[in-house]
Amino acid sequence: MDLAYTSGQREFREEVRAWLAEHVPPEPLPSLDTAEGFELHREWERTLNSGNWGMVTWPVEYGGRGCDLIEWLIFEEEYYRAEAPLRVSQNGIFLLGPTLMEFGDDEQKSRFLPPMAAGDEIWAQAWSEPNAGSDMAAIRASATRVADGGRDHYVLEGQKIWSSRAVFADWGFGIFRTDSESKRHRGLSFILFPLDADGITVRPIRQLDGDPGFAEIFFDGARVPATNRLGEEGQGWQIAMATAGFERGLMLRSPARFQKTAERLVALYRQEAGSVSPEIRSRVLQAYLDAEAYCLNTYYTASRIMAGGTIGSEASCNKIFWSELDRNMHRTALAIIGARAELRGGTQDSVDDGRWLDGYMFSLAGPIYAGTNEIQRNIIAERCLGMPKG
Amino acid sequence: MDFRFGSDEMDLRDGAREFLRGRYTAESLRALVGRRAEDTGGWAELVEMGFAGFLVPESRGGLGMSTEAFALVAEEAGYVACPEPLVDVAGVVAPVLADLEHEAVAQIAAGELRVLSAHVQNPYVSQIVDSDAVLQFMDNEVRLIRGENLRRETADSIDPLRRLYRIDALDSETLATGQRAQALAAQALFRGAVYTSAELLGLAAAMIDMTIKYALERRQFGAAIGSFQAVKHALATAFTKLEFARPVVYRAAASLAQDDERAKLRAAHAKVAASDAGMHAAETAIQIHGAIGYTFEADLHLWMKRVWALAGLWGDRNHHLRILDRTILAEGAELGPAATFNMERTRKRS
Repeated sequence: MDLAYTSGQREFREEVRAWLAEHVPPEPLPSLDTAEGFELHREWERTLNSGNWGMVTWPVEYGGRGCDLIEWLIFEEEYYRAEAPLRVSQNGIFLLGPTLMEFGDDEQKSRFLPPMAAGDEIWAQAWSEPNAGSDMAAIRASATRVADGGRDHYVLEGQKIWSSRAVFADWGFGIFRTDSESKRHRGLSFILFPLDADGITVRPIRQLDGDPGFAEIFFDGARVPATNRLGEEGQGWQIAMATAGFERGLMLRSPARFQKTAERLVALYRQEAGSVSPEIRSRVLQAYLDAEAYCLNTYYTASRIMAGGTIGSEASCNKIFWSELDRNMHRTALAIIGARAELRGGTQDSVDDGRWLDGYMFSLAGPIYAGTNEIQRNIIAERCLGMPKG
Repeated sequence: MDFRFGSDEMDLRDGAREFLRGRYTAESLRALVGRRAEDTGGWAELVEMGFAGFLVPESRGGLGMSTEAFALVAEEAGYVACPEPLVDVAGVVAPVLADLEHEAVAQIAAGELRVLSAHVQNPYVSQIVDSDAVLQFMDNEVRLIRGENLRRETADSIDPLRRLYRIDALDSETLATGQRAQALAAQALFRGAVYTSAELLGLAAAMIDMTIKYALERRQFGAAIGSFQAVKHALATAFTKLEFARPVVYRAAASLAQDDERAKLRAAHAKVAASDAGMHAAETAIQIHGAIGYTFEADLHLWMKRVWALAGLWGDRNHHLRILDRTILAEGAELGPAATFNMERTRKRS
């Protein structure tokens, strides 16, 4: 076990730190769930890309730096240390990007990866439907193939829901039923579509915080080229499961995010220390320890992956751990803030400009998205621990 | 930066696993209960495998292996609820005596002598047999008490495989005093805490495995109880808690080789995380076992009771949380990723 960073890794860290110090906006950007904030975050993606920092783990040929997982973790640590803006391109770069690299053909990769990395095309994920959330195999949205002398296309019908930022994004990726006779997880295909196509209507859904962070997407005869399909017809479920694996795994929620929150929580505690009960103090301490445990587990896992291991259903443990940690930390912060907890950012006397409140609301979504924690526990019990399906 | 064990460390782990799981079956443990047999013969076998001198330098007759490899061995011992004082003798006492360059080290490694620990944090010494000596860590003195000078009074543990004694010395050999003694006592504490944490990981894993087996066999309402979501979720939660305690313990074991303030913090975190994971696994296990888990006849109680005992050893939750609290919540504390892997170099103790 060698827990020292190499000199190369330390140099990399310094390089990231220096670049971010020069480029991170001095003030936090408006929420990326607003029209103005979305575009400002897109601009930030372009800035990152100009320094070739947009997608460090991608191969160089696709706009990345070919960084390994440890370098990724170092990058994230510096990123959160610098309080850089959230990644509005996250659905694309963390979910679709790796999926494209694994299942896309060369034309698809060269068409979609560069503008994704550049922030020119921001992606929304179109997975859930009103009748198909945790039970994703119940999806009904269809893609009917229409032959057209070698320029076949799909006609999309149906509805998707809970698509984050779809009202502002450029493109979407979703699962559609291409075999009308099929049931459940069979006969599904993974299809990419421009959100501004004819026959596609995006309707914003207002979230708890008042912003249109969600959307419904209605497909009413929208046509996309058949070449927008990733992988084979009927392979959609398999590809979606791979994407879900990326979602649960190391990329989407790196430990630095939670270690940063834990540091802020300790600082908040210290600010108010005189009036805080021992019980809350011990929750602050536990949160800090858990954030560190998450970091250690991630490095432990990353080391194994880099040595050729794979991350399987234990990724579900990860998801449960970070989402519950995040909620605990924010709940503890509200307990410290007390009577001012309900104040929105921008209001006089709001603590840290309402960030803890915003963070608490977002933390309530954590146990829900990327596969609910109930589903994750089922997965752990069935696939890691051998329990029979119910 | 590579948070993995080396292949030779894994080989040692596998060797320990094979031996321990073969030698310490649940049947063999039950046979020990109520017998109050003092010498199971198992210690001699552990010595033969070199484990008594695991951390002792080769030049003094030991294996000279790493602290993190010993954590793996301790974890295997925990998995089988091994009643031998492996952590005590090999993990705590032998390295201290090696540091002091005491003649007893070679004797321990060769199996000629067994020396258990007594520490101001642990009210009792466990597993003494007549010939054993005790290395006692007091507030301002570290002393060696030979078997013939040891007086002991039994105390009754709920763990039927732990024989507890309050000790007294008729005579002793002072090995260190003052600051040196304090430093050695502190070191003993965080070594004991880390390796006991590793045992707790093993105990937790064993209880989860026992419970998995039970949940697959036990049928109610026409199905294996493991198919019920409530049971699945309880198991998944216990498993997750254990998975996240694991790297904390391994990290702490690696840092034992460094002689720094952070080793103490990491040991404290490890002990809290592992104790909590162990207690949680025990409570989950008994709940899923139902009434049968509450019996003396079923194996589960032996593992649970070991957890209850070890959770309080080498500093209880309160002790270690105070250390963490004082450091992490202090003004100017170094926090976050910078503190997690703080520019460390692995520097093995020679």
